[in-house]
Amino acid sequence: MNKDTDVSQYRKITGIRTGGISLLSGRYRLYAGNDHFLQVRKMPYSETYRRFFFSDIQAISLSRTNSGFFTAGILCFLAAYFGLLAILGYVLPYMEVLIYIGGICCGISLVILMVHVALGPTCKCHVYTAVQREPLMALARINQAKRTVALMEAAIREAQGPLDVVDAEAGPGRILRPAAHRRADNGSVRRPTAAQVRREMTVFFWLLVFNGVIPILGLVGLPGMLGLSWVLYGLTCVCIIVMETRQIRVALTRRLTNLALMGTLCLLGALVMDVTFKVILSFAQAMLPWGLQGALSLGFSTALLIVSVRGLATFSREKRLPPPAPQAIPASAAEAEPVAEQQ
Amino acid sequence: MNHIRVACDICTTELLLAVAPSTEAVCPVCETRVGVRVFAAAAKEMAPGQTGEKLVVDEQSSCFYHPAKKASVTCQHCGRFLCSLCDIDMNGRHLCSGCIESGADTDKVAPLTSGITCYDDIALSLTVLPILLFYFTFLTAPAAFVFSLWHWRKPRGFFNRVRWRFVVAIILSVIQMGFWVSLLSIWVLL
Repeated sequence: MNKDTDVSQYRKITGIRTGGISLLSGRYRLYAGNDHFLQVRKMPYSETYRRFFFSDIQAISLSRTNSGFFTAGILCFLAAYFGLLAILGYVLPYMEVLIYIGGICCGISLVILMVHVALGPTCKCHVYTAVQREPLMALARINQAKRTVALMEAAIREAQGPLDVVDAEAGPGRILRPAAHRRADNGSVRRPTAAQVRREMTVFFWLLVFNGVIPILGLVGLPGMLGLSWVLYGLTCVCIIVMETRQIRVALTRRLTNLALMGTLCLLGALVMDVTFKVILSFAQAMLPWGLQGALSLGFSTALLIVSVRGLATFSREKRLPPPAPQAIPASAAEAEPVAEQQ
Repeated sequence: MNHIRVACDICTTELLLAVAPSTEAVCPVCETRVGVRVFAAAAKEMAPGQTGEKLVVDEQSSCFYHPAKKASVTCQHCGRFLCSLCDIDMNGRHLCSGCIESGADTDKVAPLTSGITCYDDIALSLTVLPILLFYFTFLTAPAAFVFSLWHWRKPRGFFNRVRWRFVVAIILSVIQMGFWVSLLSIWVLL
């Protein structure tokens, strides 16, 4: 850092937050200075800084996300998966090594899961200034974020003074600083059309239904189901890639997003279990008792069927419902909008 | 009543909120509850830009960039006279566009520093990672030694942390070089 900077002014206001895979997305930390907040992003061999001056911050938004719920789901799956591996190592001949590998990995997954649950739900936070909308990546947990935002709020209100709501209400209605946010948002997200969403989601949930039904038919003894299930896996993966490419997720309600994610996780879980058991059993040259294999297959198929049927039902119900009413813009505000944009 | 436009944190749908210190809205698309704290800066009008005043008397100091305009302030970094048009107020500091540009490139103006390279991390990786494939240390050990000494005085993170990474890198690289030298000596003697 250069000599002009007085680093003693900074105090940590958040812990280190790892954004996804640490090596790729960096680690974040938020500091409070005399007149600004500093967000430091630490990459393996570099650091980048974002400063938010108290006098420039117009708003801070905070929303709870459900990514923590899915992370917990994945960790539960991993713990169960490695636990099963350990059991397999115990049951199958010459596979004692699986007991240690599965046991250690299961233990690690459980510890991570406990820490994850103890940290609480996840959230997203953004800072608004006149020219930008910037994510506060250092704030990832809602409890910690609420504390930090309260701290930030106090510092900002001290620097800017209180928001004069009485004047704002008495004055002519207008929209404050609309142009900057509109530019930032429209550039980053291309919204899918309603027809695209309807088509993609219907295909996705029907594929999930078939992914649930086919293994059950295979268990009953119908021939050719194994090949068909692999074809269905492939088709579903293609469908998921197409949906992600078109950013279908941004146009879905929370319930549908959750169901789609749960369906994807169930499918991936079934796939991983299937492949692992096939590989291990071929190495051990042994067969699992039909009951265990059948129970696992039936469990995943049932989960897939429940998720897909609920998804289709929710989707058809939402299709029948009228679209959400657009937020009413007061006439006086709408008139004042072009003026505000010119600024 | 005044309104403020924000974007949903999850799906970036535009939300229109009544201005209040603490307000909340439910996104109509993803049904996420978005809590927003609004501050006084949102209700303030942007200050209009100023043009420099023309020189009236020849003895008056003029702007470095606009000789026909009256100087109103000096750049606090390079000391040049600036008119109101050229004066950039950076959080209380008056700077000229030249200093801003050079400061952003060379990290000489503190608020413009947007990132640095952590040479101590690179030096440590250069000595530790090649141990996995030990033959590479024949080349990387001297490279890490020279690299550590070369960048000894360079900044080490925002808070200029202690130099332990450089020290460890130098010690490890010396050990690795010593190993290779002794191996070569034994090979020559035998």
